[in-house]
Amino acid sequence: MRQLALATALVTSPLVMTAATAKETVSFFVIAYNEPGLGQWWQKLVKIYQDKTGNEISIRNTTGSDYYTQLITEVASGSAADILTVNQNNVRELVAGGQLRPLNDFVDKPGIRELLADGAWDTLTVDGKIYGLPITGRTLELLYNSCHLKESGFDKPPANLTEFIDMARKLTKRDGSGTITRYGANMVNANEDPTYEMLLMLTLAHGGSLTDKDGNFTLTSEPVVKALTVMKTLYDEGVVPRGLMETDQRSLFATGSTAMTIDGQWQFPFIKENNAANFDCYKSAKHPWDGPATGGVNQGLAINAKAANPEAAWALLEIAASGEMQSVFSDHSPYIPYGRNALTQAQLDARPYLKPWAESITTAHPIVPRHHEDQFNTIWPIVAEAVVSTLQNGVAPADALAKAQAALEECCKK
Amino acid sequence: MLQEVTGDQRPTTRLGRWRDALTDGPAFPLLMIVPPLLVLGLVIGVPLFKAVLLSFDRVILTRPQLAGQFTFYNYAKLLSDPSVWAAVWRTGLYMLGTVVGSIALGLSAALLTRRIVRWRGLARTIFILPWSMPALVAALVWGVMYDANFGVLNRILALLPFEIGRVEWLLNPNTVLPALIVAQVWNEFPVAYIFFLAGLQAIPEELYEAARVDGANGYQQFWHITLPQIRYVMAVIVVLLAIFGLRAFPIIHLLTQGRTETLTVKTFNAAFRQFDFSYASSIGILAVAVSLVLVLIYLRLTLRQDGSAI
Amino acid sequence: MTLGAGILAMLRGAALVVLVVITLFPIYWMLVSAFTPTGFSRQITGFLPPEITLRNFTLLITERPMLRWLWNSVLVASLASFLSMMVGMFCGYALSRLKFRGSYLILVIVLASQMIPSTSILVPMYALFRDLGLLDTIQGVVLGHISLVLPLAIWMSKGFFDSIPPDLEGAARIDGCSRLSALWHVAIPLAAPGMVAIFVYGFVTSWHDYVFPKHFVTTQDLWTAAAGITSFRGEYFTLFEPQLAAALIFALPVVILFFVLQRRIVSGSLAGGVK
Repeated sequence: MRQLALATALVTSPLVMTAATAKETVSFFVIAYNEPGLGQWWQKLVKIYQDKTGNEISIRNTTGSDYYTQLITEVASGSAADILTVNQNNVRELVAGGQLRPLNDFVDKPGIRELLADGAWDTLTVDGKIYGLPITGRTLELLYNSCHLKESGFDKPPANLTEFIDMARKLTKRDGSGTITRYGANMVNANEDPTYEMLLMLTLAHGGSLTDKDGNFTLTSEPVVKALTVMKTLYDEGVVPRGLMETDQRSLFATGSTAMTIDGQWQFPFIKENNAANFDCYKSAKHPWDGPATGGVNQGLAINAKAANPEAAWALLEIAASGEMQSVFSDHSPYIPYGRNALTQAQLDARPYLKPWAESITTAHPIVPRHHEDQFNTIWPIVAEAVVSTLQNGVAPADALAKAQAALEECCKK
Repeated sequence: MLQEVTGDQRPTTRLGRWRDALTDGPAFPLLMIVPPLLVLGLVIGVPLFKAVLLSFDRVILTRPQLAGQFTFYNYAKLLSDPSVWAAVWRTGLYMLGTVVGSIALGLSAALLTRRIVRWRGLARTIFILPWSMPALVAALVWGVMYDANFGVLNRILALLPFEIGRVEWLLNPNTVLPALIVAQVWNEFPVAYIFFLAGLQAIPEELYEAARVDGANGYQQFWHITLPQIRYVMAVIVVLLAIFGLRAFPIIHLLTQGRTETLTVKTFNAAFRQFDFSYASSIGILAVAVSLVLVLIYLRLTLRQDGSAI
Repeated sequence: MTLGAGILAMLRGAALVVLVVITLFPIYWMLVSAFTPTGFSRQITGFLPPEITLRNFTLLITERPMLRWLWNSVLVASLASFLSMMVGMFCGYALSRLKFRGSYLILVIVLASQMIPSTSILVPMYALFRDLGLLDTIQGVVLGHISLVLPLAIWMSKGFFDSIPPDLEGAARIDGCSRLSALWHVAIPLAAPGMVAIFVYGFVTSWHDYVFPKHFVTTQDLWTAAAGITSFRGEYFTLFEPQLAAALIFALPVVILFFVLQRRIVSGSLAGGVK
């Protein structure tokens, strides 16, 4: 009898839940909902949510390149969606603007915290409050074209920065007239935030940082100057493409016009689709210097502080965090999911190239300097300008960095 | 659709009088002028008004506690910011370059094809082709052509009999603005071409015949007949192209990733990088003010002489 | 033909050829890129595609709703340009024929409305469209585009009506025509080539704009093609070659429209009327 009652309760409880929250419409701001890959996972999530709760999801779709402008437009006009796609670089800005709802009351319900891997909930935590559910992470590791390496007499990828620079030189190919036909390595150097991250990575490689532990900027410190000098050397010698944006440098690597790059795992599906003949040449390895990889959450879900029905919105996040959704994540997307043990050995065997990223995702060094988390979009243009003016306009690294340091001290006191 | 009123029969019914007032009476001009003003007032006017209000406030997304005041802070900041004045100057150069370039190309093409007989449709269609591409696409294709690494433009230059050498068009501070202007001119000169073509067509052929009888050569005909006759069209095109130049965004933003700061790019950077919507608005208002002054001076110089309403 | 005239004709011919080459080369380069396999066009070393593929074109149908986007564009651009032309024409006529105080002011205000950088009113505009319930609708895009095209329609049609002698309508009025019918039967036919130019301008402006469809429409199936084309710029890769293929397809309707209408733009009926 008791078993029957329990069974009845189990069967009817979804119905009761449905009745309580029926016919809610929850808006969901999401990137590339209609595209293959992660988009299919989102579609699956929305379908399960609608079936389970009876609520409607109204999709507000945007593209990767327009995501940020669109998010800010919607937020600033006071009409943002109930569920927002956020990332580690902008979550603080949104929190500072009072736009996000703390999720602790939901996350502290039994069984929720355990859904994600250790430390995952901390990624979108601000001042002790959880503001988002991390969905995908990204770090930057080494990718190389082993066929190019072999051709130039290397049988191993570079293991440290010196080797990386040396190999980049030797992998650069010129034709009879001296025109470059293949670059040794990619190095982002356009006026965009990846350029900031490039400088940060090389600074970490030299044992430094862009800020000290109290959040004071240290752009004139030796490691930063050294990092920028490395960038200048590679640029001046012509072993890296000049002035190209990150997305364009990626296609150069994917199609064999660059031999090495520091990038993410998304390269592999692109190569498989567009350069299948050479797919086996492409390999990945740990970034060739000491210190952690840079990166963090590149897509997480947060709830609008003004959401009319946060419970209905949370239900979607809860399903997204569930084993049911997390276990199929890697079938759709090359990103690393945050779910506990979500990336199974079988999935990893199917995509062996994921290994360096799977290892570094939980120890990633944040891109935004500590104590300046709500100022990223003000900081990176200043730092990127220092890099670009050094490379393109011939300003000495120390001078460009001193100028940036002064600008940062003025704009971005913590 | 519309009934023609013939003869002297004036309608006597009430409905007739109404129709009369609307199609013939004092309400007629009102009826024609008010609807477009309503549309513009709503779609542009309301946001513009809000932008003006914003510019006297301090609405910064990441610092909500500052909002809700009345202050001249943004204008004071703007007036003391040398990068704003550099942007005004750059915008002026960009407008000048694109207007002159587009007029030169558009007018030349229109003059060269106005009397063409064979392949006329084709010749004319060729010159509107660049305009069939949105600015975003123009930016993309010029971006790969200018590319410092594998760009085709440098390969073309290498074919020339004299040595120029590799030019990093978008990276060299001396070539970047001209390079952007060229891309923009290529994209928008067809607009000038079309309106010049329509304007040239309106010039009575008799004027040229009379001039030929008087022995005027082609050059004199151009100065004394063609140019004066297309003066109004020219004025409108100049103003239109100036506005295009002022508002130009995709080409500048995509090709230099926002590093070439014109006023429009600056408003974008202020709003979407610093989240300072108030400061962005004040720069936008400055853009309106500067360009309005330029345009009014220009219109006064070119069109007021004949005493027409403009 | 004298020698001087011969040289002049040759110079004209040469100038035309140079102009045509400058105009066409970037389009040629788009074709080269669009027929090159995805990802490979940046490093072309010659002047021809290294390998020709149609995949960039086929994936527009198989992986993106390109036809749907084009249809939306046709709908939006025709509506926006036709409405702007009609409304702008009446307004331009009134400003040309009826001298009244404030007409100069109206013209200046209309012009000023176009000078604000769209990036600085994007947010207030978004809020307005939300309040009007026009977010995520085709009607909203049409209204937005009318606001882009109207100012030029007003200015241009004023110019065209200015060049038509008012006497012609005066004659019609003496024959008993109302103002409206004098406008409809006398002035508009004379200004038709200019109106066609305005229509083409409006159509292309609307066809190209991606600010309204992109920021105010979030359902992919309601995007216009201009917004669709921007979607090839992803977060990690720009699908450059498919994007150019899409741009070429996207340009076709404009080219066809112009090819059909160019006769009318220059049909000479305006000149005939002035004679």
